[in-house]
Amino acid sequence: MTTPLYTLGAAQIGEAVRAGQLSAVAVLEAVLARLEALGSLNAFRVTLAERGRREARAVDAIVARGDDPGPLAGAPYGVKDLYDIERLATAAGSKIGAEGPPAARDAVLIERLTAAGAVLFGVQVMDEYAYGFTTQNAHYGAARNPHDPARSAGGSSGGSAAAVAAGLGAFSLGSDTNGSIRVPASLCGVFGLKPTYGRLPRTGSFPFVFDLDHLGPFARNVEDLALVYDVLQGHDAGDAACAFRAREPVSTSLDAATALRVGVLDGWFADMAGAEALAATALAAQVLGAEERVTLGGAQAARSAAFLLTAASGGELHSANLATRPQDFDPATRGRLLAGQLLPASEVLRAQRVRRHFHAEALAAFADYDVLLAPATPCPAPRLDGGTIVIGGQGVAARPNLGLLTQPISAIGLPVISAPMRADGGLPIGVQIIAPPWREDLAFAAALALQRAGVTLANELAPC
Amino acid sequence: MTESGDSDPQAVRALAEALGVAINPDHLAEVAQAWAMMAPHRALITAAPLGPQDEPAGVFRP
Repeated sequence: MTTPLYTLGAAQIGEAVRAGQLSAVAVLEAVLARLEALGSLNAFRVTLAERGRREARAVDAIVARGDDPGPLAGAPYGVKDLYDIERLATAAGSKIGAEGPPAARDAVLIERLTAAGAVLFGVQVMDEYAYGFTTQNAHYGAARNPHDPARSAGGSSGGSAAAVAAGLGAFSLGSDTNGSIRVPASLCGVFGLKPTYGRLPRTGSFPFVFDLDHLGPFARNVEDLALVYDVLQGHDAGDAACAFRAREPVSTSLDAATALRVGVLDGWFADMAGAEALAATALAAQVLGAEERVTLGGAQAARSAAFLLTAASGGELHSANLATRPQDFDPATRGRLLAGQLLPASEVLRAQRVRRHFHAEALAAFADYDVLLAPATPCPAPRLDGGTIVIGGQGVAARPNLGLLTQPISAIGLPVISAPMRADGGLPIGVQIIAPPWREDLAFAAALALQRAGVTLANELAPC
Repeated sequence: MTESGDSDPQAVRALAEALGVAINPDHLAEVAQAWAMMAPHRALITAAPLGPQDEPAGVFRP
């Protein structure tokens, strides 16, 4: 029995296509057929079959004439609905955006993937304007978790994580303002990377909170995550926050991981986590030889700062449409955006100061540790029809609270990989591997160690 | 952790009017609910022990 082509990873596809052993068109057709069969997952808002076929044929033609299409040759992928795609309106999960003008060019990260031979074939479902952790969208429906379609895929990049978990692409691109890569990666059982703030250019993506927004990839194994990340790196002047840093590739040095000093975050990160999340983190700690606990006392306040800055910045960003066409918003985001406009300026400034305070505290901890571990979500995927999760014995709304363990970390821009573990009940749950600024390599080294120990869901497709 | 706060829609409406933020009356209840959800977070950052070295992060540079 031959291996279905939709199960192959990005590096595998790239090697085989470059060697002329596999056709990019054949890989794409296998994925499009799987997408047809799994449409009920609602991972994609738009399928770009013709564009994908055009790109796949171009890759095969490059190989046929003896040239190199790039390391991601023929690797099919989709992007969250907030990346600009030439000749397509960037909806960002909204009705308003979908009615807007088409983008004049692809987002910079898509351009880099195209140059590396990857094949774009779809646009993935998200919470409206990325404001939610469950990918329940009044306009386009809910992305369903491929491990159990009655459960949430997480959000706001839920379609992107669900697609990778289901074999609907070798990788995908999402965005993470408060946890929107790490939360769906956790609930869908895939690897997700939120790089250091300012590492990857956001040029050509729809913003949410300018000084919290990050872009990043999902993949089914660490090698693919590293390969895609390396292709995405590099400064671009179109994003004022993008750092002037040389590319720092990780995929070529993944095997050179040295012994890591690993700590486990407690306090807020333990108090707010359920039994499955704590067990997954304990297993990761055991594999990585982490015995010491680390308390970051400012984590809860940093989460609150991120919560308020998000409401205020998002509310300001959408203020014109909120005033003139509020009926066109998803009710689940509208109230929060409007409430954000009511926050006093003094509290917004104070929230920024809280971030700085927590940043200093976290950097001090990295004097003793290379990476810190924490659960990515407080629990495995909740049911879509429930709407609540239990935190510390109290039921709270899932949509704003599934990211309460990711928000403190993105608030201070640290790089994080969410590594997929298996909870006792069989559903996935992620562990955050948090590194100091610009040290994605350390997070990759720890993630690879977990993968090699066999405790992650690496390369497993969800049983859908 | 609590999610409760002042969710009185009329208080929220009065605040919005004072700030010049237009809220459709049909949407007032959802705004009031969201406003109440922010209350514990506002209290937490207000109580945070900050010093003069904790400058506003602004556009953040890790």
